[in-house]
Amino acid sequence: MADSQAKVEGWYRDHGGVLLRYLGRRFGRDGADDLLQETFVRALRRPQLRGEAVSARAWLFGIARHVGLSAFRRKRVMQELPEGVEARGEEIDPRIVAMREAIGRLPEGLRETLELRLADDLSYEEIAAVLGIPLGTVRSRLHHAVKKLREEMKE
Amino acid sequence: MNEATLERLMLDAALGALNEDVQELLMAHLAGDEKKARETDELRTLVEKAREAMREKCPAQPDLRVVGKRLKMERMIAWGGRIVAMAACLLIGFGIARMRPARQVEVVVWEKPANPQVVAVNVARAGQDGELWSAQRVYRNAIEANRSEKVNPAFRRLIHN
Repeated sequence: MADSQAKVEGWYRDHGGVLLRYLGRRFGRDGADDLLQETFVRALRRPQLRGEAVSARAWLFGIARHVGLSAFRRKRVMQELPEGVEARGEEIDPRIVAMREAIGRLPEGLRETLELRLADDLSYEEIAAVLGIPLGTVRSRLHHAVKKLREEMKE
Repeated sequence: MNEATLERLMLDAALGALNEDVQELLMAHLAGDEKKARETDELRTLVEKAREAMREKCPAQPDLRVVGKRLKMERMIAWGGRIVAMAACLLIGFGIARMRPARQVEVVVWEKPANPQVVAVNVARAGQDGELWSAQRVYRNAIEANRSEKVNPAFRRLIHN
Protein backbone atom coordinates (compact mmCIF):
# COMPACT_ATOMS: atom_id res chain seq x y z
CA MET A 1 0.00 0.00 0.00
CA ALA A 2 2.75 2.44 1.04
CA ASP A 3 4.72 1.38 -2.01
CA SER A 4 1.86 2.10 -4.39
CA GLN A 5 1.24 5.43 -2.66
CA ALA A 6 4.89 6.38 -3.18
CA LYS A 7 4.57 5.43 -6.83
CA VAL A 8 1.47 7.55 -7.28
CA GLU A 9 3.22 10.45 -5.57
CA GLY A 10 6.04 10.07 -8.08
CA TRP A 11 3.57 10.11 -10.95
CA TYR A 12 1.94 13.16 -9.46
CA ARG A 13 5.24 15.00 -9.32
CA ASP A 14 6.16 13.98 -12.86
CA HIS A 15 2.86 14.31 -14.68
CA GLY A 16 0.52 16.28 -12.42
CA GLY A 17 1.24 19.62 -14.06
CA VAL A 18 0.85 18.34 -17.61
CA LEU A 19 -2.34 16.56 -16.68
CA LEU A 20 -3.75 19.66 -15.04
CA ARG A 21 -2.98 21.67 -18.15
CA TYR A 22 -4.63 19.00 -20.31
CA LEU A 23 -7.72 18.89 -18.12
CA GLY A 24 -7.94 22.66 -18.01
CA ARG A 25 -7.64 22.95 -21.74
CA ARG A 26 -10.07 20.20 -22.47
CA PHE A 27 -12.68 20.45 -19.75
CA GLY A 28 -12.41 24.01 -18.47
CA ARG A 29 -10.02 25.56 -15.99
CA ASP A 30 -12.54 25.94 -13.18
CA GLY A 31 -13.07 22.26 -12.55
CA ALA A 32 -9.60 21.08 -13.59
CA ASP A 33 -8.28 20.83 -10.01
CA ASP A 34 -11.14 18.56 -9.01
CA LEU A 35 -10.71 16.44 -12.11
CA LEU A 36 -7.00 16.07 -11.38
CA GLN A 37 -7.77 14.99 -7.83
CA GLU A 38 -10.29 12.48 -9.09
CA THR A 39 -7.74 11.19 -11.59
CA PHE A 40 -5.21 10.49 -8.87
CA VAL A 41 -7.81 9.09 -6.50
CA ARG A 42 -8.64 6.55 -9.21
CA ALA A 43 -4.97 5.89 -9.86
CA LEU A 44 -4.42 5.29 -6.12
CA ARG A 45 -7.38 2.95 -5.99
CA ARG A 46 -5.96 0.57 -8.56
CA PRO A 47 -2.27 1.29 -9.19
CA GLN A 48 -1.73 -2.30 -10.36
CA LEU A 49 -3.53 -1.47 -13.62
CA ARG A 50 -0.58 0.71 -14.58
CA GLY A 51 1.24 -2.47 -15.64
CA GLU A 52 -1.14 -2.98 -18.54
CA ALA A 53 -0.62 0.50 -20.01
CA VAL A 54 2.00 1.70 -22.52
CA SER A 55 3.44 4.15 -19.98
CA ALA A 56 2.46 5.78 -16.71
CA ARG A 57 1.80 9.01 -18.56
CA ALA A 58 -0.51 7.35 -21.11
CA TRP A 59 -2.31 5.52 -18.32
CA LEU A 60 -2.84 8.72 -16.33
CA PHE A 61 -3.96 10.64 -19.40
CA GLY A 62 -6.43 7.85 -20.13
CA ILE A 63 -7.85 8.08 -16.60
CA ALA A 64 -7.94 11.88 -16.77
CA ARG A 65 -9.78 11.80 -20.07
CA HIS A 66 -12.28 9.30 -18.71
CA VAL A 67 -12.78 11.33 -15.55
CA GLY A 68 -13.25 14.52 -17.57
CA LEU A 69 -15.73 12.93 -19.95
CA SER A 70 -17.71 11.44 -17.05
CA ALA A 71 -17.86 14.86 -15.42
CA PHE A 72 -18.92 16.31 -18.74
CA ARG A 73 -21.76 13.82 -18.98
CA ARG A 74 -22.82 14.61 -15.43
CA LYS A 75 -22.48 18.37 -15.40
CA ARG A 76 -22.01 19.33 -19.00
CA VAL A 77 -18.87 21.22 -18.02
CA MET A 78 -17.73 21.25 -21.62
CA GLN A 79 -20.48 23.68 -22.51
CA GLU A 80 -18.43 26.37 -20.86
CA LEU A 81 -15.39 25.52 -22.93
CA PRO A 82 -14.09 27.99 -25.44
CA GLU A 83 -13.97 26.90 -29.03
CA GLY A 84 -10.49 25.56 -29.49
CA VAL A 85 -7.64 27.25 -27.74
CA GLU A 86 -8.63 30.53 -26.26
CA ALA A 87 -6.64 33.70 -26.79
CA ARG A 88 -4.98 35.13 -23.73
CA GLY A 89 -4.63 38.73 -22.74
CA GLU A 90 -1.01 39.24 -23.80
CA GLU A 91 0.19 40.72 -27.09
CA ILE A 92 0.36 37.84 -29.55
CA ASP A 93 1.52 37.35 -33.10
CA PRO A 94 -1.57 37.57 -35.37
CA ARG A 95 -0.43 34.39 -37.14
CA ILE A 96 -0.57 32.56 -33.81
CA VAL A 97 -4.07 33.91 -33.23
CA ALA A 98 -5.05 32.71 -36.70
CA MET A 99 -3.54 29.34 -35.91
CA ARG A 100 -5.50 29.10 -32.65
CA GLU A 101 -8.67 29.85 -34.53
CA ALA A 102 -7.81 27.25 -37.14
CA ILE A 103 -7.12 24.67 -34.44
CA GLY A 104 -10.44 25.60 -32.85
CA ARG A 105 -12.22 24.85 -36.10
CA LEU A 106 -10.76 21.36 -36.40
CA PRO A 107 -13.16 18.48 -35.80
CA GLU A 108 -13.08 17.26 -32.20
CA GLY A 109 -11.24 13.99 -32.85
CA LEU A 110 -8.53 15.61 -34.95
CA ARG A 111 -8.05 18.47 -32.53
CA GLU A 112 -7.80 16.20 -29.52
CA THR A 113 -5.23 13.98 -31.23
CA LEU A 114 -3.18 16.96 -32.38
CA GLU A 115 -3.26 18.55 -28.94
CA LEU A 116 -2.12 15.34 -27.28
CA ARG A 117 0.83 15.26 -29.67
CA LEU A 118 1.82 18.92 -29.74
CA ALA A 119 0.70 20.31 -26.40
CA ASP A 120 1.14 17.27 -24.20
CA ASP A 121 3.99 15.68 -26.16
CA LEU A 122 2.58 12.18 -26.09
CA SER A 123 3.99 9.58 -28.47
CA TYR A 124 1.76 8.01 -31.12
CA GLU A 125 1.50 4.82 -29.05
CA GLU A 126 0.53 6.79 -25.97
CA ILE A 127 -2.10 8.76 -27.89
CA ALA A 128 -3.53 5.50 -29.23
CA ALA A 129 -3.72 4.14 -25.67
CA VAL A 130 -5.31 7.32 -24.26
CA LEU A 131 -7.94 7.58 -26.96
CA GLY A 132 -8.43 3.83 -27.31
CA ILE A 133 -7.86 3.88 -31.06
CA PRO A 134 -5.42 2.01 -33.33
CA LEU A 135 -2.02 3.47 -34.10
CA GLY A 136 -2.97 3.83 -37.75
CA THR A 137 -5.93 5.99 -36.80
CA VAL A 138 -3.64 8.27 -34.77
CA ARG A 139 -1.42 8.69 -37.81
CA SER A 140 -4.29 9.38 -40.14
CA ARG A 141 -5.88 11.84 -37.70
CA LEU A 142 -2.63 13.75 -37.36
CA HIS A 143 -2.17 13.69 -41.08
CA HIS A 144 -5.66 15.09 -41.66
CA ALA A 145 -5.30 17.66 -38.90
CA VAL A 146 -2.03 19.04 -40.31
CA LYS A 147 -3.47 18.98 -43.82
CA LYS A 148 -6.53 20.96 -42.70
CA LEU A 149 -4.42 23.47 -40.78
CA ARG A 150 -2.22 23.91 -43.82
CA GLU A 151 -5.22 24.60 -46.02
CA GLU A 152 -6.71 27.03 -43.51
CA MET A 153 -3.46 28.92 -43.04
CA LYS A 154 -2.97 29.25 -46.78
CA GLU A 155 -6.30 31.04 -47.13
CA MET B 1 10.69 5.79 -52.02
CA ASN B 2 6.94 5.42 -52.30
CA GLU B 3 5.13 8.80 -52.39
CA ALA B 4 2.71 7.93 -49.58
CA THR B 5 5.52 6.64 -47.38
CA LEU B 6 7.55 9.77 -48.04
CA GLU B 7 4.63 12.02 -47.08
CA ARG B 8 4.06 10.02 -43.93
CA LEU B 9 7.71 10.32 -42.99
CA MET B 10 7.68 14.04 -43.74
CA LEU B 11 4.71 14.53 -41.46
CA ASP B 12 6.25 12.38 -38.72
CA ALA B 13 9.42 14.43 -39.03
CA ALA B 14 7.46 17.67 -38.72
CA LEU B 15 5.65 16.29 -35.65
CA GLY B 16 8.96 15.24 -34.14
CA ALA B 17 8.00 11.59 -34.05
CA LEU B 18 10.89 10.13 -36.05
CA ASN B 19 13.89 8.57 -34.43
CA GLU B 20 17.28 10.02 -35.29
CA ASP B 21 18.35 7.34 -37.77
CA VAL B 22 15.18 7.59 -39.84
CA GLN B 23 15.36 11.38 -39.63
CA GLU B 24 18.88 11.35 -41.07
CA LEU B 25 17.88 8.94 -43.83
CA LEU B 26 14.95 11.16 -44.70
CA MET B 27 17.12 14.26 -44.78
CA ALA B 28 19.56 12.48 -47.07
CA HIS B 29 16.70 11.52 -49.34
CA LEU B 30 15.24 15.03 -49.35
CA ALA B 31 18.63 16.54 -50.19
CA GLY B 32 18.08 15.29 -53.71
CA ASP B 33 14.48 16.52 -53.94
CA GLU B 34 14.25 20.27 -53.49
CA LYS B 35 10.46 20.45 -53.77
CA LYS B 36 9.87 17.85 -51.12
CA ALA B 37 12.52 19.39 -48.89
CA ARG B 38 10.73 22.75 -49.10
CA GLU B 39 7.43 21.05 -48.34
CA THR B 40 8.95 19.40 -45.28
CA ASP B 41 10.22 22.76 -44.05
CA GLU B 42 6.77 24.26 -44.53
CA LEU B 43 5.22 21.42 -42.59
CA ARG B 44 7.74 21.85 -39.80
CA THR B 45 7.05 25.58 -39.59
CA LEU B 46 3.32 24.96 -39.55
CA VAL B 47 3.58 22.37 -36.80
CA GLU B 48 5.88 24.64 -34.79
CA LYS B 49 3.34 27.43 -35.08
CA ALA B 50 0.55 25.08 -33.99
CA ARG B 51 2.69 23.95 -31.06
CA GLU B 52 3.28 27.56 -30.10
CA ALA B 53 -0.41 28.32 -30.39
CA MET B 54 -1.18 25.53 -27.96
CA ARG B 55 1.65 26.32 -25.61
CA GLU B 56 0.72 27.43 -22.18
CA LYS B 57 2.32 27.24 -18.79
CA CYS B 58 1.59 24.37 -16.50
CA PRO B 59 -0.76 25.67 -13.83
CA ALA B 60 0.12 25.19 -10.19
CA GLN B 61 -0.84 21.75 -9.02
CA PRO B 62 -3.05 21.25 -6.01
CA ASP B 63 -1.50 19.49 -3.04
CA LEU B 64 -1.47 15.71 -3.30
CA ARG B 65 -2.36 15.48 0.39
CA VAL B 66 -5.84 16.58 -0.55
CA VAL B 67 -6.05 13.53 -2.80
CA GLY B 68 -4.86 11.28 0.02
CA LYS B 69 -7.41 12.73 2.43
CA ARG B 70 -10.16 12.28 -0.07
CA LEU B 71 -9.20 8.67 -0.68
CA LYS B 72 -9.08 8.01 3.08
CA MET B 73 -12.51 9.55 3.46
CA GLU B 74 -13.85 7.43 0.60
CA ARG B 75 -12.46 4.28 2.20
CA MET B 76 -14.02 5.17 5.55
CA ILE B 77 -17.36 5.76 3.88
CA ALA B 78 -17.06 2.45 2.03
CA TRP B 79 -16.29 0.56 5.26
CA GLY B 80 -19.08 2.36 7.10
CA GLY B 81 -21.43 1.36 4.31
CA ARG B 82 -20.37 -2.28 4.61
CA ILE B 83 -20.92 -2.28 8.37
CA VAL B 84 -24.33 -0.67 8.00
CA ALA B 85 -25.26 -3.18 5.29
CA MET B 86 -24.21 -6.07 7.52
CA ALA B 87 -26.20 -4.69 10.46
CA ALA B 88 -29.21 -4.25 8.19
CA CYS B 89 -28.91 -7.87 7.02
CA LEU B 90 -28.81 -9.08 10.63
CA LEU B 91 -31.82 -6.97 11.54
CA ILE B 92 -33.79 -8.29 8.59
CA GLY B 93 -32.81 -11.86 9.52
CA PHE B 94 -33.93 -11.44 13.11
CA GLY B 95 -37.12 -9.73 11.99
CA ILE B 96 -38.00 -12.57 9.65
CA ALA B 97 -37.23 -15.08 12.40
CA ARG B 98 -39.58 -13.30 14.81
CA MET B 99 -42.36 -13.04 12.26
CA ARG B 100 -42.36 -16.80 11.61
CA PRO B 101 -45.14 -18.67 13.57
CA ALA B 102 -43.93 -20.95 16.36
CA ARG B 103 -43.96 -24.66 15.55
CA GLN B 104 -46.85 -26.64 17.09
CA VAL B 105 -45.54 -29.64 18.90
CA GLU B 106 -48.06 -32.36 19.58
CA VAL B 107 -47.18 -34.79 22.26
CA VAL B 108 -48.75 -38.19 21.77
CA VAL B 109 -48.74 -40.53 24.70
CA TRP B 110 -48.64 -44.07 23.54
CA GLU B 111 -50.41 -46.41 25.78
CA LYS B 112 -49.69 -50.05 26.07
CA PRO B 113 -52.61 -52.04 24.72
CA ALA B 114 -54.70 -53.73 27.33
CA ASN B 115 -54.47 -57.18 25.73
CA PRO B 116 -51.31 -57.46 23.72
CA GLN B 117 -51.40 -60.15 21.13
CA VAL B 118 -49.01 -62.92 21.75
CA VAL B 119 -46.73 -63.51 18.85
CA ALA B 120 -44.29 -66.35 18.85
CA VAL B 121 -41.96 -67.24 16.13
CA ASN B 122 -41.42 -70.85 15.37
CA VAL B 123 -37.74 -70.53 15.10
CA ALA B 124 -37.11 -74.22 15.36
CA ARG B 125 -39.01 -74.98 12.20
CA ALA B 126 -37.24 -72.38 10.13
CA GLY B 127 -33.91 -73.68 11.25
CA GLN B 128 -34.90 -77.18 10.34
CA ASP B 129 -36.06 -76.49 6.86
CA GLY B 130 -33.17 -74.18 6.12
CA GLU B 131 -35.35 -71.97 3.96
CA LEU B 132 -35.27 -68.30 3.56
CA TRP B 133 -38.67 -67.49 4.88
CA SER B 134 -40.47 -64.36 4.09
CA ALA B 135 -41.76 -62.14 6.84
CA GLN B 136 -45.27 -63.11 5.94
CA ARG B 137 -44.42 -66.75 6.28
CA VAL B 138 -42.78 -66.21 9.65
CA TYR B 139 -45.83 -64.33 10.78
CA ARG B 140 -48.13 -67.08 9.59
CA ASN B 141 -46.02 -69.68 11.33
CA ALA B 142 -46.15 -67.66 14.51
CA ILE B 143 -49.93 -67.55 14.43
CA GLU B 144 -50.01 -71.23 13.77
CA ALA B 145 -47.65 -71.88 16.62
CA ASN B 146 -49.82 -69.84 18.94
CA ARG B 147 -52.79 -71.85 17.93
CA SER B 148 -51.38 -75.33 17.79
CA GLU B 149 -48.34 -75.48 20.03
CA LYS B 150 -47.99 -74.90 23.63
CA VAL B 151 -45.90 -71.83 24.19
CA ASN B 152 -43.16 -72.02 26.70
CA PRO B 153 -44.20 -69.85 29.71
CA ALA B 154 -40.75 -68.28 29.92
CA PHE B 155 -40.95 -67.25 26.28
CA ARG B 156 -44.45 -65.91 26.79
CA ARG B 157 -43.22 -63.75 29.68
CA LEU B 158 -40.47 -62.44 27.55
CA ILE B 159 -42.91 -61.46 24.83
CA HIS B 160 -45.26 -59.73 27.27
CA ASN B 161 -42.48 -57.66 28.71
